[in-house]
Amino acid sequence: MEDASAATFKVTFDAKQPASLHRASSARHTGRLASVLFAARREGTLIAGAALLSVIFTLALVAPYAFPGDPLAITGPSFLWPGEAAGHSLGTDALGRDVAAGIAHGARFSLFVGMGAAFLSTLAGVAAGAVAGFFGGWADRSFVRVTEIFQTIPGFLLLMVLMEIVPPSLFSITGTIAFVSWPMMARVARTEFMALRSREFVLAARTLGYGPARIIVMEILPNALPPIIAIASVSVASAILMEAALAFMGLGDPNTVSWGLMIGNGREFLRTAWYLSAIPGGAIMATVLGFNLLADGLARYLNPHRADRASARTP
Amino acid sequence: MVRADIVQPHAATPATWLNVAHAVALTPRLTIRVIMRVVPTLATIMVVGFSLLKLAPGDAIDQIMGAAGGASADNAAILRAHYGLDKPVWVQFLAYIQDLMHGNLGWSVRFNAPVSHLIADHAGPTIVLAFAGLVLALAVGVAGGIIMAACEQRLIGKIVSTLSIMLYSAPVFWISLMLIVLFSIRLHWLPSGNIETIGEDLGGIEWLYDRFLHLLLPAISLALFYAALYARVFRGSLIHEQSQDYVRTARAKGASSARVMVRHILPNALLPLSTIVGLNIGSMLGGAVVIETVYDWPGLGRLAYDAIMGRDFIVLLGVLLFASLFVVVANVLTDLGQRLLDPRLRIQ
Repeated sequence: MEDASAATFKVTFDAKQPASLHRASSARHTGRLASVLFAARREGTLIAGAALLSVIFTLALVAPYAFPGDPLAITGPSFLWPGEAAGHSLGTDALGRDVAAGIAHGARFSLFVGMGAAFLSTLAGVAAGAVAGFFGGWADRSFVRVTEIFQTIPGFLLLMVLMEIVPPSLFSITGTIAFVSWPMMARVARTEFMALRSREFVLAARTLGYGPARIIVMEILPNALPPIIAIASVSVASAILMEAALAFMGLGDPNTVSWGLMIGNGREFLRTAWYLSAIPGGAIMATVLGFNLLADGLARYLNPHRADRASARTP
Repeated sequence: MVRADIVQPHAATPATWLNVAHAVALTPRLTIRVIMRVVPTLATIMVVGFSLLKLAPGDAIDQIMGAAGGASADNAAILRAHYGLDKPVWVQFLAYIQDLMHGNLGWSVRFNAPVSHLIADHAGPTIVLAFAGLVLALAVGVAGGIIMAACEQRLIGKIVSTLSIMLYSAPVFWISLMLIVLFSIRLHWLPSGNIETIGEDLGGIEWLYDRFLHLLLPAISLALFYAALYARVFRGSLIHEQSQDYVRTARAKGASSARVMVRHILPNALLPLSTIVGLNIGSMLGGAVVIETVYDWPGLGRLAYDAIMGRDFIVLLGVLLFASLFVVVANVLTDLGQRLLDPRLRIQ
């Protein structure tokens, strides 16, 4: 409250004002869509990321049709190198399971865990960060305490401990990764909400008699979204990496095809059949790269200071 | 008239010793503040960690019985009574706190040794690995960041920036395996694991060289991801600093580009980087856990992994506490370092 009253009471309804206070609406939205498309043509990173991800998503979608049946089933002789035999384009592993089928089905698992964990941690992180940043006071102090604890424990160690307690399954892995990673998102959200709560449009909303919940969700949140969206894309990437590391170390679900598990299984045969580790790792890297590129592109596109930055590049 | 925002915020070097003196003078007050902040954090981690691990199914006795090929329930009960595992959880908890107060982290059933000894034995290799990784990551990251910022439009800048985002996206354990394939299996240049050549009694320089060779691959594997991260952060802060007014002032004074870069931009751009480095110490330790299991490096990560596999949760709790303490100390050192770097931070 004290911050808001300190701000000058001045509400200007110019084009730079936040979206929700003047809904000049649909025309503006189509305009925005067009400008996104236009920017996408210029933004190489955004396109590269989207292109890479669309390949992975397609792979995940067609997996049950292109590789019907259990991807863990034995389908041929063991240790076929990629390209050695027709029908096993990426070769087979030590038990004669098809690597290509594993990659395709693993894409479903990785994407689900990555996006599910990112969704949950974004939801929790934004809620916590919004409350802490908007209200300040003891809410903020306890928030800082809690995130400090998360920041102090090495995240992956905590993840390993938690995976010991819950039985590994698709949902438990997703939830656990979300639990370990929400503080990152929460800190970003808190910073945004702290910066925005003392702005004039929030004061205007208060003056109109809006309650805190409405101000948080309808007024501040839309304006805080750009960095949140970019960070959400990063957290998909990091969730996929965490899941892979867990599965690699044998702490994941041994009965699901996972790229990390494939690398872990191939590790014993590094000397003779290194492709067994190389191929799933390449798939992980491509997926994570896709989300990271998307995050970079989004951050650059959504950053309101972009114009200044571009012009101020070299004096 | 001098405008505050045109004057370079970073203090010039001649005052450095003054800065050190100033920071030292502030230390007692700072120490108290740090303790006030650290003790509740570590206490919470202890309580939460203890309760979590008591929730986990099974214990070290089960594991030992399993390894011994089964045993009677009576024997298990005797063993549990011996290690105090049969008492109610809150009694165990109080006993654990009492032990902690005496600097005792408990007794490992699996390794048959005090947890504090286990941690002392395994901390050295992890600290060496993490420190080597950090130094390497900083060196490569700063160089990469400078190249990316200075040659943004040129081919070399684009190559470095593509490389950095690819490294940033690759799983650390996978990079480790691929480095092993290349440098150990194909080229036979470097050992593929462990901390020293087993069975050879080396001394002096040879011992050191052997250790160095064994450290190289794990340290590179750990460093690559963070080098990429630091390069990206450093590029950003360099570009931000380049457009500041004090840079224009320096140029107007007639300073050469190199001088502007080295004396004016670099010191200021290092500050955000140091924040990121401090924030990532915990995650670096987490990365070391994975790397240690790949390279069979006898550090805390390896210990934690073995403890999980043996369900020896008291060891895991000890590692968790020690790692958290390590992160806290590292964060305090980062804070102090930043105060040295930037006089503005000393104003409370």
